[in-house]
Amino acid sequence: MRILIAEDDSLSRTLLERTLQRAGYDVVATADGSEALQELMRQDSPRLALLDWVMPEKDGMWVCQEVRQRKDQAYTYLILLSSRESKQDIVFGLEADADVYLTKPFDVDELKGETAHR
Amino acid sequence: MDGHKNQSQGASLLPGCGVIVAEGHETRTYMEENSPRGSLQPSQWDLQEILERFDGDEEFLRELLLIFQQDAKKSLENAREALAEHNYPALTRAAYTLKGTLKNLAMKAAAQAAANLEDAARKESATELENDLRVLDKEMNELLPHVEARLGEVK
Repeated sequence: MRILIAEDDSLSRTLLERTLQRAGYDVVATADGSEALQELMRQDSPRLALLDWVMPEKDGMWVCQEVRQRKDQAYTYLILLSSRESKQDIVFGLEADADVYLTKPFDVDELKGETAHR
Repeated sequence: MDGHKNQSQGASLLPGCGVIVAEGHETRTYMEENSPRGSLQPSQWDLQEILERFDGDEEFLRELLLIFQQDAKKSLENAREALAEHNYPALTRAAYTLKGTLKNLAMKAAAQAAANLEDAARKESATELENDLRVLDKEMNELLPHVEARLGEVK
């Protein structure tokens, strides 16, 4: 399965990329929201995206909102990843039209569980 | 405690508190006297947790620690600059980034210190910020020699 990741922090991005590759995903890695959206707008883009909430300039929430406004493409399953853990943050994240909200540290089994039937 | 069952080689478990440290390194436990908030536990780096998460891949851990060595200092510097300029959004972002990095590496006490700093920056609480940054600084200064030593062990 192909998956796009958007993470500005190089350590977290390396960790995500390698962990997902090891779990059998084909990873497209991006370092900010604008780059992520650009990738997601391609015809052959991954239909699964793991987005860090907080990134400089365009963040994960912005990407969620932009993707949901595009009705002309197949549905993209959006996962917001953040180290913000309060209930308020989770609700806020899901209100941005993410399908799932995961907290750091990232757990690949949790992701597999969330995406098993996609 | 689960940690007793699967203890990895080269690491040891401190009795009663689940703290894993690299074997042969000096360990100290202390309660953070300068921080009245949060739930700071004794300084800790849970190497067992992280190695389990990476399926014992020491080479990958080394790669991440090298990135950490470079980036953590820069993030801390960004936080200091943002505080000096009273730039609270930048300080919140720097603390958030550090928190995520530290959580990913199971550096729990430092991650809690970064979380406290992020929280204070978001609230623009000037009284807490100075102390929170000092605590984070202290935690990082505790961690970095351990990281260096670990990098020396795993070639």
